[in-house]
Amino acid sequence: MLFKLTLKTIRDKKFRSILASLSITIGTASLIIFLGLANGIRTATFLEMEKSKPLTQITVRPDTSKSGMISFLAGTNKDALSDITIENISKIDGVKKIFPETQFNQFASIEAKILGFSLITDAMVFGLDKEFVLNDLKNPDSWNRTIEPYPAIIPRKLLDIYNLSIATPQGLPTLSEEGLLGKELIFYPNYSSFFPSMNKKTDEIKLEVVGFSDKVNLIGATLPSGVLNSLNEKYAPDSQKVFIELYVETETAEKTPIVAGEIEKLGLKTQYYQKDQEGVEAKFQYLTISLGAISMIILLTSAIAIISTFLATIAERTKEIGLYRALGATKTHIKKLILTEAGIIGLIGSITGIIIGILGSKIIDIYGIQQLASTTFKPETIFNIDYKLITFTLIFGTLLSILAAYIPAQKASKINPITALSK
Amino acid sequence: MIKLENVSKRFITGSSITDALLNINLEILENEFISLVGPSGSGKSTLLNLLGGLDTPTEGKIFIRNKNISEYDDSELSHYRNHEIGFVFQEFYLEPSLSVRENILLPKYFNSSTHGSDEYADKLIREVDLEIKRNSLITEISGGQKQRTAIARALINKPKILLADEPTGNLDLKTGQKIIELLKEIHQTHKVTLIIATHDEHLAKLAKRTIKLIDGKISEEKHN
Repeated sequence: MLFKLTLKTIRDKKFRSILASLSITIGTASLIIFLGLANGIRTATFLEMEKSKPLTQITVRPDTSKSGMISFLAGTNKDALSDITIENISKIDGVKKIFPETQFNQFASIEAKILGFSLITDAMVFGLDKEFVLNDLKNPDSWNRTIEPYPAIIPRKLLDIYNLSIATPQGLPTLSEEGLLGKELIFYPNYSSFFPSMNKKTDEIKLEVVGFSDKVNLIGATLPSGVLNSLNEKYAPDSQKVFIELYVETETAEKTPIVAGEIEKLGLKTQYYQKDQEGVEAKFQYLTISLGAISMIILLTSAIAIISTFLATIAERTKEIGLYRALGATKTHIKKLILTEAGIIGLIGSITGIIIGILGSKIIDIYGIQQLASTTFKPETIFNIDYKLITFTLIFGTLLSILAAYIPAQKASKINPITALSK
Repeated sequence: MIKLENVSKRFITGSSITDALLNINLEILENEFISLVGPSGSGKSTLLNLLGGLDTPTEGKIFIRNKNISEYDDSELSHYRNHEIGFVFQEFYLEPSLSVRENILLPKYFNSSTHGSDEYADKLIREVDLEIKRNSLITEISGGQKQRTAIARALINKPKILLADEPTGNLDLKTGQKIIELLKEIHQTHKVTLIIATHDEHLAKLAKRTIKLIDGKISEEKHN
């Protein structure tokens, strides 16, 4: 019966109810947008991380804190990754496969001639087996080629660096994967623009871009292992046969941290998705808290608006409340009446806010995705509004409205029927 | 049924003190029809408010069926107002946004027992002759019809005591007459104790007993 009376009051005071509801709508819509955005960016980032480091992959490197970076890069480190390391790791339970990554053990530069421009840069060249890069190859057979132009894979992030840091500021044409695929690159072994003694192009080796990858080493081009080994034999015959990194594939995602632990016991450094996730997660918590705090400030303003609206309403409805008290309404009845009204207003406001928040996020999403189109970070969406967020917002918006109306309800319950009726 | 022992009511506003009622001793029997008369400010409304549980005495005790209601807390007083008392006001105090029928049912909103209330409301609507106006809004009916609605509302919880404060005060003579007739009829059919505060001599004389108040004291008591 009391609920019926509340609905009647809301209907009678339509304009005021809409205004009060609107304040909750604004607050809950912002909560949906901000927390949905924080969630979405987090999800998109983790998906991106998963591309470069699948859940079942561990990247193994020698512990350079012992040997030093120079000896590591020069391949003279006695602790470097070797066939023995592979053998030791393969004995660990849960290891499915090991993909060793080799590097070209001399200075090298790569030149690209694109759209009439010639770009030459010092670069590292790596070698990997076909199975590891299979999904990144446009034509899998291209990796089997042992004659020039040798197949080469370019890291996707390198395109981003060029497009965002070089092409855009200097007004140069931006590059796309489609535009670069099949293009010829020239690899100059023993050539570096940094060192005067190496500043002479002795040989030219032709490469062809056959794919783009998130998994390959970021600081250069990747060739088939066999090709790289033959290039090393020719240009760096005295260098130690070592691996720069090992990509260890585990049987299951759950086993990845366990296997990594065992590898670390061998004195090696590991990097894997779950480990990176922890650090990134902590950073995202800051983002979520910050955006959540902004929403809370907006919601607090909404709560103040509710308090103010209800206080004004109660002043306006003193006689009506006095009459209810005279007819036998207890203080609890009056409180229930006001709080139910606030609850209904909060619920309607929250539902509207959720709908507006979802629609708003769709619009922002379209704009955001357009902005990211020129980068390799192309998430399907930058928002993640799941049922948990919707439920939380619905409950929070409604409860906030009820809580905000508590002071006015308390005030209303103290109305003296005689004083109120004589007004 | 109703017993007042040395009941006083004092109002303090700033530095001004008003004794609205002073040492009232009174007994009212069950099903009695009492009229309270006296000039404005004599304490009639204050006495009705105390009897109706809208206010509490500064001193003294009020017994209703041997229960001292002056010791009731707010919740008990609310329950008492809802279950035991029917109030009819001079100003009607009806909810303009509700229909005649909804206004009559209003006290039921604060009553946990609502069983059969719709049927009883319809019976009361017939009794106060408002059948054709049952779904009309309060703003659409006349003053007499408003007071009929208020009377039906006062009876919805089947109270034992019906209190009416100047029930004809806002009505013209002819309409007032009809309301008086209705109250008299209700007193008999519903077997309620009826206490009316009035300036209307004709109405006062219809009561079995008239109590005259002057300056918060009972100055005269007579049986009609």
